[in-house]
Amino acid sequence: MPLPVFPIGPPSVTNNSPYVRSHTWPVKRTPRWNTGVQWTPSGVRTTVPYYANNPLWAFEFTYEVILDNPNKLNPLYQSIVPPTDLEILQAFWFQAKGAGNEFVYNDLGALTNQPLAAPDVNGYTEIRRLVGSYPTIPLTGPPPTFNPVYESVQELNGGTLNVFANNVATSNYTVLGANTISPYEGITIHWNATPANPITANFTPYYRCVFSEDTQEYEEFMYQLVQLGSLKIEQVRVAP
Amino acid sequence: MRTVYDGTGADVTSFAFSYMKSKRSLMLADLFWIQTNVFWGNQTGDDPAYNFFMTNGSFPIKVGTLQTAPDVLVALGATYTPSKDPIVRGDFNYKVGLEADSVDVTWYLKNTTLLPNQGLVPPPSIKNAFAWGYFTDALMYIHRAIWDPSTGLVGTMLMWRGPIRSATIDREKVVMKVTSPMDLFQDVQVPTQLVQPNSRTMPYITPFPTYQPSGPQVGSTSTDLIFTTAAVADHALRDGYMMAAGTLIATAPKNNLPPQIMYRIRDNVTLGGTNLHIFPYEPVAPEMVMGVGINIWLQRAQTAGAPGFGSVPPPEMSI
Repeated sequence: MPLPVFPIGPPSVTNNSPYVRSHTWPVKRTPRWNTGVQWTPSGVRTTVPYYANNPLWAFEFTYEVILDNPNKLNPLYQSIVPPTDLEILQAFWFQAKGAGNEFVYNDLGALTNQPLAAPDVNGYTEIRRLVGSYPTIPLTGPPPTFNPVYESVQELNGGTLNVFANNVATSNYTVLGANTISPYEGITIHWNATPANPITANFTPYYRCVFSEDTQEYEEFMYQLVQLGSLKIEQVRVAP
Repeated sequence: MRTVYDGTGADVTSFAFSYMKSKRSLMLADLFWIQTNVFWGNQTGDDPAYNFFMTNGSFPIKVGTLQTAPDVLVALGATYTPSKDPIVRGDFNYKVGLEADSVDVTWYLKNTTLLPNQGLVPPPSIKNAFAWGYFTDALMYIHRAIWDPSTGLVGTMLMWRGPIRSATIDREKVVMKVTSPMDLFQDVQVPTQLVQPNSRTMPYITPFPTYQPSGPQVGSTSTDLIFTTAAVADHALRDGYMMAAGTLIATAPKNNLPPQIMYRIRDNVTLGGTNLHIFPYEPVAPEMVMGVGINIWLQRAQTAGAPGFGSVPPPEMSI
């Protein structure tokens, strides 16, 4: 069953998207890895990366002004008793029971043409997004080659997955949950027949998140104007 | 170095040793395997065990063949998945000699994490099953997996194996004490009738129960289980034994699995002609028998037991 969607997005899209209005820059995005480190007296260092393939993200938002004015309701939220922006935020906070319940956060919008790998020997392909690429040789040398880096997509929250084999839409696969098929952390698809390459996909990825803290400080600095200095959420891993 | 086996069961210790020496960054994960009876369903004695496969790694790890004991390999073909309820272990302490040791494994189980549906509706929570003692003597194997990001599983090594001897439950976790096999000789009182040279089949009881009343009625409590059955004389079931769940006909103990849990009956009365009230000596969780009925055996002389122990009751496994 889909999880509630966090009603905050990047400020650049806040004012024309179904989000609580008026939150401000900066937005902090912190990808966190987890590494066990062992030093020897000689300085040689050995590590065990506990997060094998993907980091966990943390996000921090700032609201300089949250409207609590019943005469300036958020027009995107329709209900019998339309809530103010503050009421939307606080209602979401209440349903999450602070740091208790999970929800999803869409930080990346809708992604298109994400390159997927060819099926593995067992016919599985992981759903992933392209993070970026890094050069493999010095930039001063011959034209560098670039290594693409991907992040597993663990959560679509019931959204549509459109897969293309050689630019032709296909549905000749079965979708399997995140962290169920070794060694993939993300959602995987199992092909019913070998697809044509290249394989690409369009989807809207989410991060499964929780609030980082059990408290929030809403400061009403003027009548019906509320400030929220810091709103922190963090990603949790999806497990079967 | 411990023996490392790859997914096909080949001994790759030498390769794993050189692989680990050559790397400055190693991907390691603990693999937890709990094996028990399907005590929450209609299991018969011949049904396979139920297995829980979990890892504290961040990704699923598929393992072909695993070592389960010295020189014993099992073709498992299982996928250890990251547990939604985190599971971690304490330190391993190994000693040479006959001293028994244990390791604490902590499973941060939510109350809402249920056993898979196996015919008992609704399946109880795993945490409750621990509290009721159903996981006592279930086997746990802890392996360590060495993983290569490019080539996959390098191999696994058996780090610990043994039964879950006890569990401590609080609101956020279950702490299991997993002993080593040496515990069998050091701390476990072995009933004399358990040591016998012949088949382990039917050492205590007849394979078929004397009574098989239908599932308990709504209104049963942990000390007053109410069944629907033909008339049973009052007090006739005194000191009899009942299986808590399922239609367990062949109850022979099986290697590497805990014995089926039996409860001892303190007394019985029949009310209204068909309502059989059974009063166990110790509380029984009604959830474990609701809807699946029970089997009742009475104490009586047997011919299938070991010589000299012709009339012995089943072992006390009640909780």
